[in-house]
Amino acid sequence: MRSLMGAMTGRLLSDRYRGLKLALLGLIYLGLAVYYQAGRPDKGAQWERVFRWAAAPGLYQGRSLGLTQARVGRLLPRDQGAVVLVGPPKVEVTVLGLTKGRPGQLVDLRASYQGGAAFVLEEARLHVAPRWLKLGVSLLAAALVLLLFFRTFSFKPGRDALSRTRAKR
Amino acid sequence: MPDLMTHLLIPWAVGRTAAWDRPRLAIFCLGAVLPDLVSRAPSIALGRWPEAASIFSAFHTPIGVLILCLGLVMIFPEQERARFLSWLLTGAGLHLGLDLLQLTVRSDNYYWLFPLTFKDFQLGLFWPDQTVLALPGLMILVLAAELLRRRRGRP
Repeated sequence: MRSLMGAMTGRLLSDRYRGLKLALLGLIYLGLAVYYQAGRPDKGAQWERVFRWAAAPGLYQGRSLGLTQARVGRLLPRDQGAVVLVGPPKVEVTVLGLTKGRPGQLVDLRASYQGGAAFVLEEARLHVAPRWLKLGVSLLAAALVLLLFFRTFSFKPGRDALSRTRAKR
Repeated sequence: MPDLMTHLLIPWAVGRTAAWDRPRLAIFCLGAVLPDLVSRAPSIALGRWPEAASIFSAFHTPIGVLILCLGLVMIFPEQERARFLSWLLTGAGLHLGLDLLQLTVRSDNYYWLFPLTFKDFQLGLFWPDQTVLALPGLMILVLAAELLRRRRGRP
């Protein structure tokens, strides 16, 4: 069984019909991506969902929606709640009951839909680290890993596009 | 998702402690950041066009990662591919394992059993943004791994 698996892997990874195999992998992924897009329960970005729900309020009233990395915009008077900004277009959403957090702070929350752009808070959690810090360290990590990769392997034109010419042990 | 630095430092510490050679470490670390690099990075860059960004989202599922790794190893010499594939997949598996441990308000981006089902689940041990606070501790872990390696006489 193990040798059969080995032989199959060997054939799959061989140079024979390499272009065809790559094209097939691409096609399989494309099929999966289309299925992913069409089949996932919550389609689109969260700000798109807010628009969709607001367009047909009767359909979604009372349903719960999770919003991540929403930015607290302004607090409503008398501790009624807060207006949060969602997504890159900064869609304004009123969250009744959201009393913690200060303007500019990131919050993850779950709230039930009340119609328009208003929600009632179910649970909320304020971020402990700013988004720029997370993005910054992530960018640094991506640069480091690519640097390590390209210092270990170098390009050589031909059938084997990359070869281990600069590998250090 | 935890930040990418957490996804890099953990495999780095593992690889250095285990005294892996540089190609293995480089490929393992690449595998460990690959799912976010090819799915989350486009979704941040294409934030205003979520439909375009979602084309890459399936790369953050086990089947998507497998397809990506199979395609990626084809750029290496034929005799190295099987080994490199196993290292890439181990790194990517570590990434997905770490993502599985977290807790989010909406977990609809983690379809572990895709395309069989769109059911999502997480183990809920930490919040994604909390990993940034753990970075100093992870850096100490990496330093300890480096010191251990040097004490063994491997620079």
